[in-house]
Amino acid sequence: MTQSLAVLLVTMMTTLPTADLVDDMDHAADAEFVGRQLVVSWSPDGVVAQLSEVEQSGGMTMVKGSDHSVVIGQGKLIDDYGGTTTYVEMTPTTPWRLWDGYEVVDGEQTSGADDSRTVDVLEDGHLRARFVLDEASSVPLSSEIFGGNGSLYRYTALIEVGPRDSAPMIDMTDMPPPEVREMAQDVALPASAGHYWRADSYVAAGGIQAFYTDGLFHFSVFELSRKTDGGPLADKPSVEMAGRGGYRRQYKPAAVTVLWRTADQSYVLIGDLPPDHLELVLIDLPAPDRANALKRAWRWVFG
Amino acid sequence: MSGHPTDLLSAFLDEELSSTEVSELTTHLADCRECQRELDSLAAVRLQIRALPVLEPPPAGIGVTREVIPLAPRWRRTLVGAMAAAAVVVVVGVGVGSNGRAAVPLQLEQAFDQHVARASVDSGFNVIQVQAVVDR
Repeated sequence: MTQSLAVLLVTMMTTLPTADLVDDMDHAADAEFVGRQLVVSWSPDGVVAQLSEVEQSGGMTMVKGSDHSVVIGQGKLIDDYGGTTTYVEMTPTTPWRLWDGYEVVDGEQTSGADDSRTVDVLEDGHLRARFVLDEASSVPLSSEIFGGNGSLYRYTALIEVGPRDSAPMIDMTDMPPPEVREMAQDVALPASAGHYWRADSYVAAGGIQAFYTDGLFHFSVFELSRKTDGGPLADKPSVEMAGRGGYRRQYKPAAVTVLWRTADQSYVLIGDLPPDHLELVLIDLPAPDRANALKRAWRWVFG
Repeated sequence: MSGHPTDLLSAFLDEELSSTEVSELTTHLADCRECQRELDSLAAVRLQIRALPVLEPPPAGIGVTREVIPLAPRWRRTLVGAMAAAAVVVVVGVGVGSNGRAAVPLQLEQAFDQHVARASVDSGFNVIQVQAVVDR
């Protein structure tokens, strides 16, 4: 009975054209506000949460930490960390699109407030994402991302939102010129992983970045030298994913990072995709190397 | 776990097994003398290679002539030559290996920056993406 009602509710929802979602996102990017944002993720490794000050103006968004502020938008990123400023610019040409396995529908009004509306994104008829948008600005007041089993994976809430003053968000006068990331050619990584497609690829520090998206979530795979150390992931235990061992991962509130090695390369995946998507994606990416003892000994001696 | 998981022992020493595999392997090791010996042997070989001295070449000008030392039988010369070659391979290998294995630092901050910069181009709600960088 409950299932029938759920199916009925889903089928009664109005399917929205993808263009409406794009309009909402573009409209939200134009909004000007200050506030604080809470992000909580119920990851396979435990619950992680973060509260940050946020500010948005002129199509750019700033998030501030204690000694760290980052401004992004339109392919630009200005990262000020401990007094060191990094300015990165990327100019991809691949147009955005939403995976056709998603269905965008008018969601059930859950907040009870008249000045908001709910947009749901369904995958195979199941709720994958729910956005509660401010009616006037389309800014997401909250969002929920669900895992494959229907459980909540990530929750975000914009709290204490208010108008910002007219002062520029960042001073660009002494900004160094941006480091423009060049497109990479001859990328060996697959053109698709899971239902995600490789949109474009770039030269990165020590290797290549392949950027994958399904229009809702994104991840990058960095193909690096096998000699690359594990950085902060080195201390993480090796875990099994996609039926294979040899992955080291770190869940943060807004992103997951995964490191693994093959016979010739190290790979780092960074993305906001939910855990069940991550498992499917890893199946299609190069597998961690489980070399035999002789091969390992050879590599151990000769590098 | 069926049979002897000898292919996992080396990965175990490299700490590259998943927690499930470690659990299964250690359970197996507790009852399998053969695998215990194999693991001990693998660990010992690694220790021995680590302990090998780096040989210095002899100073130039010191030569040995056929007139001073009579030649050994041919088979013995071949054997000694092969052993010397193997020793050179190991010593050079350790030298090259120690240089070749020099780790390259993972530039995770740069990778995050580059990922989020690219993601910001697409339609989306930037606030969520940018938060990933601050808490990387």
